[in-house]
Amino acid sequence: MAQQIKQPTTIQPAQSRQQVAHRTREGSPWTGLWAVVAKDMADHLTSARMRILEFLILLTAGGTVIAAMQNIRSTVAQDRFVFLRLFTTAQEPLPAFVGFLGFLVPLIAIALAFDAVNGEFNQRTMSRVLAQPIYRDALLLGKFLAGLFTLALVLTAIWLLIMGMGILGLGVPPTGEEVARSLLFLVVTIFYGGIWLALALVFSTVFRQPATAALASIAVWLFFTIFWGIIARLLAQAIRPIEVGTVQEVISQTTLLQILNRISPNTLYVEATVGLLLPATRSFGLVLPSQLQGAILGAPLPLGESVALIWPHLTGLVAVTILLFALAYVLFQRQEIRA
Amino acid sequence: MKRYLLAILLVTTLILSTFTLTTPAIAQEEEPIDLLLFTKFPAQVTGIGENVTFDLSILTETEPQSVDLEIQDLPEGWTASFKGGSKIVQAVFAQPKKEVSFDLKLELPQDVKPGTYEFTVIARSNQAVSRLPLKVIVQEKVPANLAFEVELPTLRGKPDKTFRYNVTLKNDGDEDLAVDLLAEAPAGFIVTFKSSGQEVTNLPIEANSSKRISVEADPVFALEAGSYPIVVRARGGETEAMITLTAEVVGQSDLVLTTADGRLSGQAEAGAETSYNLVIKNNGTATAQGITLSATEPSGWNVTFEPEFVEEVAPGEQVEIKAKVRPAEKAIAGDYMLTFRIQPENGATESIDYRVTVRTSTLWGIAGVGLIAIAVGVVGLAVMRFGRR
Repeated sequence: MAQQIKQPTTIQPAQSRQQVAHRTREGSPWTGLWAVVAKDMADHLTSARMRILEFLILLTAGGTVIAAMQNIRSTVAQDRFVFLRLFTTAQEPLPAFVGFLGFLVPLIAIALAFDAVNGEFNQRTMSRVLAQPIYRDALLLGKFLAGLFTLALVLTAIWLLIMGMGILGLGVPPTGEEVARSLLFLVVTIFYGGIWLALALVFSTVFRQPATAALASIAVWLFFTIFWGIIARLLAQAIRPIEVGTVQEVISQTTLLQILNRISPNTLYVEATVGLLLPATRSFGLVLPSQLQGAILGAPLPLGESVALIWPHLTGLVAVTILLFALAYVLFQRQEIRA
Repeated sequence: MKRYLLAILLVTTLILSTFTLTTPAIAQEEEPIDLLLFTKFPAQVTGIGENVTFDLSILTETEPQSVDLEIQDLPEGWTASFKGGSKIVQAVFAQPKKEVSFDLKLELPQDVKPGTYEFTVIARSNQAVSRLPLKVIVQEKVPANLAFEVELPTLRGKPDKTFRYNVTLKNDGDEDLAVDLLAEAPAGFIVTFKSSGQEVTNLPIEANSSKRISVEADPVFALEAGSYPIVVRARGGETEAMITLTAEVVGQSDLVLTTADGRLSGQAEAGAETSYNLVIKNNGTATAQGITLSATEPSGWNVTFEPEFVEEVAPGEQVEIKAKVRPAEKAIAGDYMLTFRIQPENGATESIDYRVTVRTSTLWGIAGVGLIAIAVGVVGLAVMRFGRR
């Protein structure tokens, strides 16, 4: 893609850069970042791969929301958060929209980034791009941001679509809190996608073959989606076995199991979604009966409290995204690139 | 058979009647009566204030004649008039064998004294004179008289209680009376009368009988302690009876527990003490004493009051209390129900439900931001170390 970048503004021949000791740094490392972002986004949005994914996600959104609306209409519900139920209501045989997003978002993210770096190598355009006054820093970050923005664009469009369908179908405008909660849900979803995007970026840096990178990314995704739950349970049973059957043992094992489960971004995403879209959610962990004494069940938490509840999840998703990008960055910077 | 019997009966009656009719005729043959004024009941008893009517008849057996009527020795103040065929008359035309009836109406003065009064009615025609002495005995009549009787004229009670007096209203007179009931009560009372369960304002009482009435005085608002007179009057015809009932209102404390701003919900942070301002208000009329405060809280919570104990709250006064609530360290965010309770020494417990929204510490939020900051720092370090290739 980047072979089309053709306008060197500040001419600084590659030679002169190599002559200077490679520790010497000049100017901003992010020069040309937005050119890369714009070009890569244009590539993404016009690619057939993206069309297929968009079609898929559109179908999902339409199908699940229409099913959810039928369900909401048939149950005469006095719900304060009827819009949020558009996202969470499932009607057999379709799972709820959030359930679909749980595995569609990783797919899109992986599809957007699995050939980001090695694709350039394979097309022999990497050295050409880097011949331009663009640092590697800007190239990698630009590719990552382009993927993230594309993802955000698609998800925002779907969010707007669902809200619009909701207004048309339910006949009521969403309340401020509903909008705030669903927007936060959108942010969480974008960063959930960001993790898989950064992971695919890492693999596309490590493996020279895009297919291998894609396979590796999907393997990690499958591992966390399907196998991690089983492994976490086995680990928890091994580390904190229940020998006598006391309450303490059960509690400690359950707590460990929860901590292990939360290593998986899927768990983080599902819990964050539940906390945001089901305002009555008070806790994810084991709740002792004594903690529920005097509690008014079913009362929705204030938005601030729901955010506080999922704050570790949200920050965890953001932090892991950044750390994975840092890994990809270090790997990419250390790679040898020959013309 | 039946018809035959009836016929015999009819014939016998006819024979009998002709016989009686013919009897004066037989006497007439001996000495025909020229003029006779007579009445069936020449002496009548009457009460004061009532009028008297005599049914008079006049008879002649000789020839038709016009008879003038007059009264002699009529007591002073009395008025008399003759009435025949609904007209006031002064003379009667008598025909033989034809009895003429007319009335003598006497109007007695209001201040007539009891006693026997005699006078004479004279019928005078050209041929003859007939005198008829009449007697009116005026008897003293028991005047209408109403009287109240009550067993317990003074009742004592709390201001939220209905004062119910059982009153007997007696009519000692000889007249039936329709009695109006009235009450004069101090402001703050609504007085109603009930007779056999029904609310009444007017009731008939027969002569020489009595009726039980329930007088109910309902305090409308919390009255101050004191003695309140309720005057009940019964008015029927010319008479009136009066009784004064007394309601002795005892003071009562009426405590209300609320918050300073009236809100029954608040926020608290898990593990941190939050204080809410409670208000104990005495809307009653007596001082409330020895008020203990308590609370029902979820386990692991800690609720203390400052002060724990209120000595007294005067009527109309209020006392502010601080309720210090410390949710459990591990309380889950969300809404919880607390119950604050006050228990006066002698009085009913008053309680309010208070809804506490527990917020969790924002410490983890800062930790999360720190995590992101570290991640950004790692990127920054990586850029520093490997950047700008």
